[in-house]
Amino acid sequence: MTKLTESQAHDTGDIEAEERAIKQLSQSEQLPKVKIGGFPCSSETIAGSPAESSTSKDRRSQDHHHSSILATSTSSPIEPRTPVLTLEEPTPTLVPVQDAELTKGQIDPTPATTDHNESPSSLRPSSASRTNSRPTVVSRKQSLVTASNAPIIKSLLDSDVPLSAGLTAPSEYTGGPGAFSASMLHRKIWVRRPNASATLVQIREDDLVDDVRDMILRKYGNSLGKSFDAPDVTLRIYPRDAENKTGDRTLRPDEEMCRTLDAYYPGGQTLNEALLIEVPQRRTPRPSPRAMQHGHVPYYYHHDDTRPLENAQEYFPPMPIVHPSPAALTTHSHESRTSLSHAPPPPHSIAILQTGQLPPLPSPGSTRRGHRPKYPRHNTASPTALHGGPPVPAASARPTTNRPRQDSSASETKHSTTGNPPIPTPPAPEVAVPGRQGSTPPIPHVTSPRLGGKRKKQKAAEGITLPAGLLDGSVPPINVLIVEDNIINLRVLGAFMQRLKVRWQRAMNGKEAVEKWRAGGFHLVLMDIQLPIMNGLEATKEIRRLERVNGIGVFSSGSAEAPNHKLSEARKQGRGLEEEDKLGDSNLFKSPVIIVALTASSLQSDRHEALAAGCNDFLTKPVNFVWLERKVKEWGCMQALIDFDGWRKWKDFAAQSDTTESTSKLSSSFSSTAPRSKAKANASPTSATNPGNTGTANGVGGNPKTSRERMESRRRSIGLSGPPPVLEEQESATPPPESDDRPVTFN
Amino acid sequence: MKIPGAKDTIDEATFEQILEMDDDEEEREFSKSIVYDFFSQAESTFGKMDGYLEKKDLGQLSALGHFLKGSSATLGLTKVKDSCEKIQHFGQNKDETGTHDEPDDEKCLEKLKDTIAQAKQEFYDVEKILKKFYHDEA
Repeated sequence: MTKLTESQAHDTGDIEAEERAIKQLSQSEQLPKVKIGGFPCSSETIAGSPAESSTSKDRRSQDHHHSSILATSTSSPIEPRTPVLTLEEPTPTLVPVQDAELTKGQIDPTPATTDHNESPSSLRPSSASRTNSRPTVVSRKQSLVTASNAPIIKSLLDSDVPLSAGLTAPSEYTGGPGAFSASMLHRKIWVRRPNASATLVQIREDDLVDDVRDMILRKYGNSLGKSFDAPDVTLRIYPRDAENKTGDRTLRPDEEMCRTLDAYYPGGQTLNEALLIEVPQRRTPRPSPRAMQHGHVPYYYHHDDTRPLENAQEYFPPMPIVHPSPAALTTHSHESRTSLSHAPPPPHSIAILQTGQLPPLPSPGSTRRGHRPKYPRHNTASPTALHGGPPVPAASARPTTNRPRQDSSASETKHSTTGNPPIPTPPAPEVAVPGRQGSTPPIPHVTSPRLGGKRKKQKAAEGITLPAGLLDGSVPPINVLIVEDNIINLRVLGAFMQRLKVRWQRAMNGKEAVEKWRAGGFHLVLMDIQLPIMNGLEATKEIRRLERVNGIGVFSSGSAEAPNHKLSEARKQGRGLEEEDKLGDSNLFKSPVIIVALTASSLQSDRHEALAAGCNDFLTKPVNFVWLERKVKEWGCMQALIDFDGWRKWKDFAAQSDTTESTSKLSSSFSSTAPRSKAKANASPTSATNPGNTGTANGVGGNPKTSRERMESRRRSIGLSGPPPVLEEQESATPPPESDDRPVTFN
Repeated sequence: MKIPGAKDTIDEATFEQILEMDDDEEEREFSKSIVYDFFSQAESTFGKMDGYLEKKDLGQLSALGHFLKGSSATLGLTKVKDSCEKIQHFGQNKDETGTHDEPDDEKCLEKLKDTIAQAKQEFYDVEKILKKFYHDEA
C-alpha cells in the first residue's frame, strides 16, 4: 500500500505531494495520535490520480507489496492502533471502489510509511514502471481489506465526523479485519468444530492457512491444543452457495487465508460460514479392537465426530463387547472419527443425559451435540437377559414385597433378580437398605482399572471391575426388542444390531412384543407402528399401562429420594394389581423401557401419535443406520444412568467372560458352590437357567449371558448368606461410597 | 453409483447401507441374501395381491401394500416402494397420495389393478438390475 501512494505521487509528478506525504508520515510517526483532520491537505495532493495508484507491475509484484506492507505493519505493532494509522492502510484499498471519495477527502499517509520502509528500493521499480490499472488495485484490496469493510471506509471518508470517531467505532463488523491501521492487518475469521458453535480467531491479513492453525490451537487450548499439533489440524471451507455442496474442500496449508476467504465469501465471512476444524484421531498406536471395524466405520462417524477428543475414552465406543482394554476402545472411536470427519456431523440428542432427566422426553427433534454421559452403560439387561422363561408366571411368583428393595440397593435387588421369589431372608436385605441408599445415584468410582485377572477369583469384588469398565469405555450390551412384521426389515435391523454388538430379540406383532417385553430386561424397543394383530401404538400403550400399574418408573430404583415412600406406594400398587397385569421380577424393569417408533411415513401427525401413545422417540423408515445407531447409543446411555449398578454388573460379567474360556463350566462350578441359589433359580420360572430359550435371541449376547447368569447365582448365594456388607480384599481399592453399594458380601 | 442402471429405481444411500454390512465385498453374502429374500417375498406378496384383487378385498390389499412397502423401502427400491404406497392408499379408499377419500370401491379396485401391475413391472425391472449386480444373470 505504501508503495501505491508512492507511485501515485510519481504519477502525478507531484513531488510535492510525495514530500507532503512523507511529512505526514513523519508526523504521524512522531505523533501517532494526530487527528485525521490534519490530513486533508495531503489528500489534495493525491487527488487527480487516485485510480492510478496501482500499476500492473504492482499487480505482479503483489506479493512483494504484501510483504512490504507486512513489514510496515510489524514495524509499528501497537502504535498503529491510533486513529491516524488506521486511516492509512484502508485508503488504497478503497481507491478502486470509489474514486470520487478517495480523491476528495483522502489522505494517504502511507507514502510516508513506505519511505520508512526498509526495502523501498525493491518496491520502487514496480512503481516506476507503473501503469494504471484498476484491477490491480482490486486484487490488492482483497488481500488487504475485505469487501465488507468498504462501507466502513467509505463512511469514514464521507462523514464530516472526525475520522477518529468513526474509527473507534466501526459498526459493520462482519468478521473481516477487526480494525484499521496496523491492527487492520489483523483480521478475525470464524471457525468452528463440527457441531459446535463458531468462534472468532484472529489472524493476520497475510497469514497462511498454516498460521491459522496455530491460532486455532491457541483458541482451543484445551480441547485441541493439548492433544494436537498444528499440522494435525485441517480446515475445511464450504462454499456459500448451498447448491454447490460438493464445493467444500480442505484448505491447503500454504493458501493465504484471507484471500481464500474473500474469494469464497465476498462481502465477508459470516458466522454461518465458519471454517470447519477437523482433527485426526489420536495417533497413539493402539490395538484395534475388532476385526470388523472396517465395515463399521461409516456408521460411527457422527459420534466420533462430535465427541471431544480428550474425553473419547469415556464415551461409549461402538460396542466392543467384552473388551476391557481401554486402549483398544479408544482407538476404535478415534479411527472412525478420522475416516468420517469430513461428513457434517449430525447433532446429538444426548443432552438430556446431562440433566439427569429421564426417558419420557422425546428426542426426535433434539439433535444437539451433547456431551456424552461419562459412564457407559449398564445393564439393566444383565438381569433380564437371564430370564428366558414365561413372563407371566414369574410375575405371579414374585412377591410384591420385593419391590421396595429396589430403591435401596439396585445391586442387591439384582441379586435377587433371578431368584426373586425365593428371597428367603427378606429382613436381612431390608436392614441393609438404609445404609445403602447413598449408593443409589450412580456414581462412577474410579478405582483400580484392571481387573481382568482378578475376575477369575470368585471372590473378586465387583467394585473393582467397575473402574475398569469406566476406563475402557466399553459399551455394555443393550437388550433390544425389534418389533417388525416384515422379515426383510427384521433381518436388516437385526444384522445392524449385531454389528453394534447389541443383543436383540424380535417380535413379529404387537402382541408378541408385549409378551416379550413382559419377560423383562429390555432397554429399548424398536417398534414398527403398523403391525398385525396388535399394532405398534397399541402395544406401546399396553406396555406403558403395565409399567404404570406396576409402578415402574425412573425412580423406582436407584433414586435416593424418599425411597420408603415410593416403596410403600409401589407395594400398594402391587397389591391392587390384577394378577395378569403383574410383571415379573421388578429388577428386570428398573425403568420404563425406551420405545422408538419406526414410522413408515414422515407425517408429523404419525409422529405425534406415536409419541402420544408413549413412544419416546421415532425413526422414519427406511431406517438410516447412522440415526439408528445414535438412538441406540443415546437411549442406551440413558438407561445406563438409570441403572448404573446394572452396568457395573455387566462390566463384571464382561470381564469374567473375557478371562474365562468356558462360562458354562464356570457356571456349573458356581452352582455347586452355591447350591441354595441354584435351587431357587430353578424354582423361579424366570430363572436364568435357560438362557437359550430367550426367543430368537441372537448369538451376540450368548456368552455374556451365561456368564452373567453364573454371576447372578453367585451373587444370590452370597447375598443370602450375609447381608451386612463386608469388604475384604477389594476394600482398599474401593472408595467408601462403593461399599454402600456392595450388596454382595464375601464370606 | 455402485449399481449400474439403478439410478431411478434404487436409492443409493439406503441400499448402500445394506451393502456396507457385507463382510466381503466380493461375496456380498449378507446383502445378497436379503435382496433375494426380498425377491421371493415380493413374488409371494404379488401373488397374494392377485388373490385379494380377485376377492376385492381392499383392506388386505392395503395391508399387503404396506407390507411390501416396508421392505422395499428398507432396500431403497424407491419405485416399488412408491407403488406399494399407492396400493396401500387405494386399499384404504383413498387417492394415491392418501390425502383424499375415494369412497368408490370399484374405482379403487381399478386403480389397484393398474398400480399392482405397475409395481410388478417395477419390481421385475429392479430385480433384473440387482441380479446383474450380484452376477446372477440367470
